[in-house]
Amino acid sequence: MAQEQKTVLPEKVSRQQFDRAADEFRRLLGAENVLVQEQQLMPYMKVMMPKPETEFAPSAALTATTVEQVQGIVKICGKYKIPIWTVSTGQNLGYGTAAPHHRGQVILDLKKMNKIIDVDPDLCTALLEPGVTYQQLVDYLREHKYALWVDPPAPSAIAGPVGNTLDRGVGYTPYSEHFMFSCGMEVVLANGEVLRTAMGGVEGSNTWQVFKWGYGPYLDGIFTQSNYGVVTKLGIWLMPAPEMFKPFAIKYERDEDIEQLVEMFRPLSISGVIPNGVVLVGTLYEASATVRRSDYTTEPGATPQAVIDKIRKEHGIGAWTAYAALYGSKEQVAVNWDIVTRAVKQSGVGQIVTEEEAGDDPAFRYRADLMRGNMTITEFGLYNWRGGGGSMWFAPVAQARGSETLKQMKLATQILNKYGFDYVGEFIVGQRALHHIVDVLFDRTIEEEMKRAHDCFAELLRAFAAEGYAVYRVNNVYMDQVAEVYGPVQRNVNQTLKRALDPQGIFAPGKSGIRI
Amino acid sequence: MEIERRSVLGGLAALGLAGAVGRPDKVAAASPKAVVNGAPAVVLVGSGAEHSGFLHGIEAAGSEILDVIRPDFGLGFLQQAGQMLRERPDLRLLGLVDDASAAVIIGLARATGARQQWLANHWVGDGRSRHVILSADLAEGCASRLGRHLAACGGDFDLLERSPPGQEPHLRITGSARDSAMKRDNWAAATGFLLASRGGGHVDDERLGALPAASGRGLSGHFVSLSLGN
Repeated sequence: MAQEQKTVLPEKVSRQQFDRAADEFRRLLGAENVLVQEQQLMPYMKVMMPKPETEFAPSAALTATTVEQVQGIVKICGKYKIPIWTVSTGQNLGYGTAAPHHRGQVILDLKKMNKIIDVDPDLCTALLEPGVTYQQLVDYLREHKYALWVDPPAPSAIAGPVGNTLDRGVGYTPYSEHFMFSCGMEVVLANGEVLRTAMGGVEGSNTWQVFKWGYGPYLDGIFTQSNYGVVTKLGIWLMPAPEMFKPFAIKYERDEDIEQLVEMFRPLSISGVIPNGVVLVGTLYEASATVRRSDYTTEPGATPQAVIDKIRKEHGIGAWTAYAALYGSKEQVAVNWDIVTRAVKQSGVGQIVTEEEAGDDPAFRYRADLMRGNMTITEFGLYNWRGGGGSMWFAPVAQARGSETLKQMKLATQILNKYGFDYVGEFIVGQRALHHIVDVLFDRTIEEEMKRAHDCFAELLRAFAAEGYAVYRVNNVYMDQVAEVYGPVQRNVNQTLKRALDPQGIFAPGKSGIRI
Repeated sequence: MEIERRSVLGGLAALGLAGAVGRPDKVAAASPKAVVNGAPAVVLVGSGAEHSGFLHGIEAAGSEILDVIRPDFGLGFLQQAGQMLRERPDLRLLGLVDDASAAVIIGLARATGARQQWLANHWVGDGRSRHVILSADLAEGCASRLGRHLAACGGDFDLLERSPPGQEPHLRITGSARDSAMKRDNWAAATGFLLASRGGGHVDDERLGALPAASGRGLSGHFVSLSLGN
C-alpha cells in the first residue's frame, strides 16, 4: 500500500476513488494482474517522443485474459470514471510505443489475450486475440504445416496483427494494407455489450471471417485508430504461400531519379505485375542497417551532403534503392520478371540487383525477409543511426506520382535540416497512394534537442498541411494537431460517435484527437 | 553458494543461455565473489560496453555474474532472452547496450511482465558526458550517488533524473572538468556498481569510491543502461 501512495492518479480521480477501483480490479483480475508499483509500470514508460517519460506515466496497468474480464474492467472504469488506454502487444514503436496519451491513464494491456482461435487453411483466414504476436502466428502455421504467409510490419516478431491492423499499419507482402485484409471484429463497448461486426452478428454464421460487409453500415472502420471500444478479436486473411518468390532491388544514383522511378512502378503496381508494396528507400534509411552516423561525423546538426555521398560510395548504396518482389508460379514470375526488366531498361536509369547478386548484403536480406513475411528486427538499427533514443514516424500520404515524391522529399529534408536533423525516409508504393515514412531521429539526452525535435515535427505537420498533405498515423503528442488538419466536420463526427458510444469518455481520451 | 550457483547455471543451460543467447559472443565471465550482493545477474553488454568498466563495476559490487551476453538483432536472442525473462524472474538482468537493443529489451520486459528499476540514456564524447535517468522507487539513491561520484572524479557532465511520481526532474547535477585525467570510463563502472548493489539492498560507498581509475576501454557515443528483475 505504501507503494500505491506514490502512484500517479488519473485526471479528476481522487486517491480514495482510485484505491477503491484498484481493489475492485484485484477482485476481478487477481492482484498479479493489477500493476501499480513503479517497477511494474516502468516498462510502459520507454517512450521515444520529445517529451519526458513522466508525462506519460500511467497510474496502473491491467492485464486481462478473457472478454468477460474486459467487460468487468469497463464496468469498473465507468463506475469510477477512470480512463483506460488499451494496448495489445505495445510495440507501436515511433507512434507512442505502449505509453498512454497522457499521464494518469490506466493501461489495459491485452498481451495475455493471446489465443489463436482459428486458422482455416482452405479459406486462408485466421481469428486472433489482440495479444497474439506475428512470431506466435508464424510458429503456429509452421507447427500445423499450413502453407500460409503472414504480413508483418517492420518490428515483425514482437508486434502483433491485431494492434497493427487497428492502427492501420502496413507491411511489405501483397497483403500489405492490413486493414484491407482484415475481416470481422469483436468489440467490447462502453456499456458492456459485446459487438461482433458484419456477419459475426448472425447466429450460427460461418462467414464472419470471409465476408467483410454484412448488412447496413460497415462498422469495422470506426474501431480503428479510435477510442470507441476495446477490440477483443479480429479476423485476418492470410496469404497462400506462392510457388515462387523473387525479391529484387533496383539502385538509383540520383535523388531526382525517384520521379522516374515512381512513374515506372505505379503501372506495374496497379496492374498487379508487382503485387506487394514497392519500397523506395532513401540513402540514410538504407544505411542504418549497417552504418552509424558517428562512424562518419560527430558534428551536431544535419549530416552534410558530402558525408551522405561518402556513405553512398563506401557502402554501395544508391540515392534510392527500390525493393520489390514477384510472387506466383514459375511461369507467372518469369513473365512478370521479363516485364519488370524491360521497364527498367526502357527507363534508362537504375541498376537491378537480384537475390543472387546481393549475396550476403544485410540490407537486401532484411528487405527480402520483410517481403517474404519472415520475422526480423533489423529495422531497430535505425535507432542507432543518431542514438539518444528519440524517434518519431512522420508519415504523410501522397499520390503515387513521381512529382509528388520529389516535392515531399525536398520539403521534408529542408525542414528537418533546418532543425539540425536528417532525412531518413522511404516511400511505400501501394498502387495509387504512397506512404511516405520519415523517421525523425533525435537525441533525448539533450533537452534543447528534444524541444527542437518537437518543434520540427510540428512544423513538418504544418508545412505539409499547407500543401494539402496529411499523415495517416501519428504519435500521442501530435494527435490533436493532426485531427485539426482533417477538418472540423470530421472532428465533430468523431466526437458525436464518441459521445454516443462512450458517453463517459473512459476509452483512451485523446486518441486521434477524439474526446467527449 | 556453489551449490546455488550450479543450480542456477543448470537452469540456464536448460534454457540454452549458459553459453550463448542468439549466438552472441560470450565476452567475459566473472569469478564468483566471496561475498555475494543480491540476486545473481545476467549482464547484457553491446557497442563496446563489454570492454568498459561496466562489468568491473558489477564485479566490484560483489554481484554474482552468471553470464555476459552481447545482444544482437537475431531472432535467437529475442526468443531466448524472452524465455529467460519469463522463466527466471529470480534473475536480475543488468545492461549497458545501444539504443536499438534497449528498445528490443524493454519491449521484451513489457511482454514478459518483468520489473524494471532503472533506464538511463548516456552520451559520452569529447571528455564530457550526459546521463538522463528514469528510476523507480527501489533505485532511489543510485542516480544521486552516480552524480556525486562523477563530481568527485572531476567529471564534466550533466545528470538528470526523473521518477514516475513527479513530472519535473527531481535531481539535476552538473559537473565541470577539474581533472584532465578524469577517470575516462568511471561512469560505466559506477553505473554497473550501483545497479548491481541495488539488488543487495545497500550501497558500499567506500567501494564505489575505490573503483579503479581506468577500469576499461574508454567508451564514446550513446548507451542505455538498464536494470530488470525482481
